[in-house]
Amino acid sequence: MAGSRQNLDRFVDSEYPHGFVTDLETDSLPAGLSETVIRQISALKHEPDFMLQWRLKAYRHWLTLKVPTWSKLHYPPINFDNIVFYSAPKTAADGPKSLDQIAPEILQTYEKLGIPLHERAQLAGVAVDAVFDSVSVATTFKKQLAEVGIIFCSFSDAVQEHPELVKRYLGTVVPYTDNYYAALNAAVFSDGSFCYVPKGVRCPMELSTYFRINSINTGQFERTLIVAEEGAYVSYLEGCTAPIRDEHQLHAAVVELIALDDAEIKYATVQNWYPGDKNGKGGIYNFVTKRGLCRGHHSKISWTQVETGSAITWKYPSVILQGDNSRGEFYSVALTNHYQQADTGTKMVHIGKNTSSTIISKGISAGYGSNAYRGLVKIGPKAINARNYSQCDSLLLGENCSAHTFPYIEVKNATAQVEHEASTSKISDQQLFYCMQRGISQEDTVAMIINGFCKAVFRKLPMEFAVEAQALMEVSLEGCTG
Amino acid sequence: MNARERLLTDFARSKAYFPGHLLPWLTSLRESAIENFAAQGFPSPNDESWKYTNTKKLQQTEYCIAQQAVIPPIDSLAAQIKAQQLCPDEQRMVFINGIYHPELSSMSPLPKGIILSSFAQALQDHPKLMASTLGKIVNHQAQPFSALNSAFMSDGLFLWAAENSQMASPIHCLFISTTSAKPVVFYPRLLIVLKNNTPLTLIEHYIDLSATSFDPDMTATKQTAGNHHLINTVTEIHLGSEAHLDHYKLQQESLNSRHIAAMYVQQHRASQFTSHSYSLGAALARCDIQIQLTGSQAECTLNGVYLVDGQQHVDYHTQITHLAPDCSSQQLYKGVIQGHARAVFNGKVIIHPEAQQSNAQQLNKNLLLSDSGEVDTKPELQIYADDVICNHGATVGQLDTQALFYLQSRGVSQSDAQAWLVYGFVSELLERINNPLLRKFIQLSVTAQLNRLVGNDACDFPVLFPTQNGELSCR
Repeated sequence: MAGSRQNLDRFVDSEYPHGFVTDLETDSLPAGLSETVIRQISALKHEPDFMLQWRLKAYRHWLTLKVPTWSKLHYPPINFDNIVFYSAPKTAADGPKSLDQIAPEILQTYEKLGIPLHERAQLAGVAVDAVFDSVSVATTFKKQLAEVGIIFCSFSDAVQEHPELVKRYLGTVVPYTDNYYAALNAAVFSDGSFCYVPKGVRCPMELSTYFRINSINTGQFERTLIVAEEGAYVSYLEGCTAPIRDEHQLHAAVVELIALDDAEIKYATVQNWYPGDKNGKGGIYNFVTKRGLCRGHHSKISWTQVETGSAITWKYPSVILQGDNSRGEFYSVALTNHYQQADTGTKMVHIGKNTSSTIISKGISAGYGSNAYRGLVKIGPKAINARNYSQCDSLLLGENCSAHTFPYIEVKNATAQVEHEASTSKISDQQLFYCMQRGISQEDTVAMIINGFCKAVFRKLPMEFAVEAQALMEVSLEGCTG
Repeated sequence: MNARERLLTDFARSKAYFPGHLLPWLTSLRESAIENFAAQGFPSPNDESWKYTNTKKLQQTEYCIAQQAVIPPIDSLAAQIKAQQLCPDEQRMVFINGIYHPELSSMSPLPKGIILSSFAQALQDHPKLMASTLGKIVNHQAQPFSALNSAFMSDGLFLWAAENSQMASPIHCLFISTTSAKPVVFYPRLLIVLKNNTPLTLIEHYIDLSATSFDPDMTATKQTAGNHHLINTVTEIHLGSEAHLDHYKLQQESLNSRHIAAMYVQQHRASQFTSHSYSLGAALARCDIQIQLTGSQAECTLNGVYLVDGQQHVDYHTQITHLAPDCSSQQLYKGVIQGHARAVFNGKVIIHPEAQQSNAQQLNKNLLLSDSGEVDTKPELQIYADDVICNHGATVGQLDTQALFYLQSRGVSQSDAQAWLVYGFVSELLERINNPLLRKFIQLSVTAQLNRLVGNDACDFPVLFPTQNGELSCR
């Protein structure tokens, strides 16, 4: 086992490969939060009055809330007076017309990350709405999407161009009263993505957004809203990387999905924000509220996530199964090493008849990492023939890490079938021995077993992301795989 | 005056009358427990471990403590007590409204090294032994009701088994509640200390002789009008190296009563603890079981069955803490929920960093037979060691329609078919009862309750009838 111990150490010590800072002038408001700051944010973004009023209501509600303490996370209290709630790259003032007008530093940053924006946009057929420090700097394929009637733009643009849609759907799935961080987001959110797929349209390409956090001490408060009308289909990808910082950075995003009759939304995330160094210093605090509403009959919402980054992940992508025969899915891989902490899971709330949901969660803990699955499956009294299957497995690498499971199951209907199973174990010596005696190296064995462990989730990722997710695991497993 | 203040006043008024009030160590134990309760108060739904169980009605009821209640004439009870005999060779200790009654009990001479006595008597006879163990395993912080028990405990059981002592006959503690004019509360306390290498069987049996009728539409008004009581019981168990305890609990309280129970077990090296818990009665039954595996190779097995109907509410909270390497724990809880009943299960397994090579299994299965019933289950794992094998699972479902159809297509009536399948669901746990006489007794109680649940109560056991050897046959 000495060999595997070394491998684990190397894995645990591997450096964050995406750490660099782009020098950009930013247009920031002073640190701290007050009604004035919120009015300024709203004014800077030339928002209509209903947005300002909504933000102010959210802020006033947020003041009445307390920081939630129920999660299995340990971190020093966040001082909201030290956080800059808005920063926009200066170059955004005129608004870029094409890729040529985008500041070269930004393009370089993407290239260093291995995301050649234009190439990917042209070759892979992916429309990228790149969010760089809170303001959308590039939107591609907008025209092509517009031809079939799909609106895909930054949230700010949506507020300007389609205020009626924003007004109709904003906050209908995650109201500002939902929780502490959702209220904060509602008050100060700077930008995000907006996607509207009209009735009967099947989105011809995978939609993708990259979020990056770049300014020191700038909390990012993204808000994403995706609406799929009757019979529409959209697959949305979200990927994140961030440069190395010493100070903890706060990220409190909100994602709302709405699926009407027969609509389907797939939402995939690869999250690889800076997790802090091997002593637990630095790293992103990631407090995210993601929720989908299957409002119509036969609608479907699917969440897939690969969480390898962030010092703290607090995230429960959920589905409310309101329409009859609607379906919710949650596939997750969460990896924690060093002193990373993840408290993640999902909520499946069955309200309509014949609703079904599937939960597959895979947690990997290494170093001093702590990984918790926390989920809720709720079957309402009218949810006849509801069906749920949950499976939550944890893999432990190293003797200082921990894994926890907190599945809540609440059933109020006698026709429901709910199953939950979970297991926790390490890679056993027998498994290692079996592979090694067949000539497979220890590194390859560990990599193979971990890949197999995550396979059920990776398979659910769209092609573009499956490649990235596997690359990400390989980077994270550096040392393990030799 | 709210319930908390009422209890604090009660305590101040009656502390001079508690058994052992002259023992300074006991007085300080009671004082610190009541302070603990005063600080915590009653649990609210905001407390995670009381999220699904509301104690509001319990708090609204003005219970008077058992000493203040009138104890009814007990001569008539003798025959009924005889009917509750589980095994011919049992040591039977009978408690009426929480107070030990030697004249109703049946005790045979004890083997060498065993002390078996009522709690109050033991405070007089063995104060030193009790001082060294009482209140050492209970966790007042985890459960405010346990703190209340420590403050008010008046009678119960004291069992001490010295090293290598042997006792074959099971100990049957029969707690009987009787009719009383006012709602009463009693606080039985059981303290069990098994030193190294001692095997023993203990049965905690709670019955109500005043209320035998079943009232499925029990309402709040009826509750306050009828006979009902609150039992708040705490069992502390210390198992020395290689000690072995088989613990049975059969709870058949009246459907108006409330039953709050907590069991705290500390296990040392290679000790074995098996719990069989059957929760059939009571309007509210809450059971906390907390096990600490402090020595290596300790094993514990928790088996539980809950069958609830009407307005019944049953809540099991188990917590097994693995503190030493090479320990194993197994939990299997099965429940059948009918009517407006509600079942809550929370099983927690905590594996500490030192507890390598731990093996923990946990399974909770529920059969929800009614749309107005509810099941809230939360199996929980907290693991801080890597070389472990831990599994847990939870299911909520209903009877297999194909199996029902199969039986009906062969001429079995629907209600019989249901009864068979439901019995099949829980029989796995009945089969784990080693003592055949005990198994038969529990089987009878379980089948009676199951027949009620599936609406098959035209006669006593129309479908399932245990034979002499404990096997089942159709009549």
